[in-house]
Amino acid sequence: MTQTSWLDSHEAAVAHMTELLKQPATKTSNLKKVNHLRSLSGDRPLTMAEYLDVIEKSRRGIYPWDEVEKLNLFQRLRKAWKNGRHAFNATMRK
Amino acid sequence: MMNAVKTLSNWYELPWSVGLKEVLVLFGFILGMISGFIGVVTYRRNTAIRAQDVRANRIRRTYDVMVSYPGAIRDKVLLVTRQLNEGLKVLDELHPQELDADQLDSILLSIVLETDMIGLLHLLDPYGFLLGHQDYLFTDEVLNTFASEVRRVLLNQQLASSIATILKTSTMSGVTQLQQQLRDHQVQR
Repeated sequence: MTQTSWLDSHEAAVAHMTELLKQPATKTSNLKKVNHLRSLSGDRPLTMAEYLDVIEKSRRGIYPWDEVEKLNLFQRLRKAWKNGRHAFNATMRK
Repeated sequence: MMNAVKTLSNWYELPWSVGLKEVLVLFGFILGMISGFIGVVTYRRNTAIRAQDVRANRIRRTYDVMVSYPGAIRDKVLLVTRQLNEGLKVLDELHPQELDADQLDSILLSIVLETDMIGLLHLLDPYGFLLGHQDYLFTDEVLNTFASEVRRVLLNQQLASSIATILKTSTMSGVTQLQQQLRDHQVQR
């Protein structure tokens, strides 16, 4: 890890962040940053509506890892059976 | 009545014989039982051996994953964690209550960009994919190898919105699975 960043030292971090704070931030500029980050992993850019949706959800404390996908009855039954089996196996192994 | 009593009391004096058919039926019955017993034993034995094989494969795969979690990724995780902690600490010193939400998001995104979070997510993505297939791995044991350090990055409450915006409809779907697994793992402890 030879590359240095402003997060490596406390003073540099404080200086850089105070610099950042002087610049105004809007939803649009934030979305531009997000889309830059997403382009690094080759994903399509988010639209404003999607971005606002994600932001709103995380403000309310709904995180993506808590969201459950919509399943029909049989998929739910199958999942419940699978979870129960795994729970049983885990308990028995202990 | 008397005849019946006579017959019963003298049964050993009665003439008797065994037909060939009766003998064959009895032998057939016994042979059937023996072959049935052998069949059951063979089936049980084969099932047990197969279960052993499945278990051995599971152990081998789990071991492979545990071993294949290399020092490079661990170094990267620790570096990112240290930088994130530094950034969040400085952010706390700057009184985030006075900042408005957009500026806070902007700063968090800058921190995420600076720490090369994307590279780390790319490295962790395959592990999420593997952990999605619980039938083939001992998930708990795999998670035990890296949950404690990865959790601090992936389940960070302050960075949750930034990571969520990156992962929304992303090709790195393994990371979301990994987050779910980590949360369940945390609940279990």
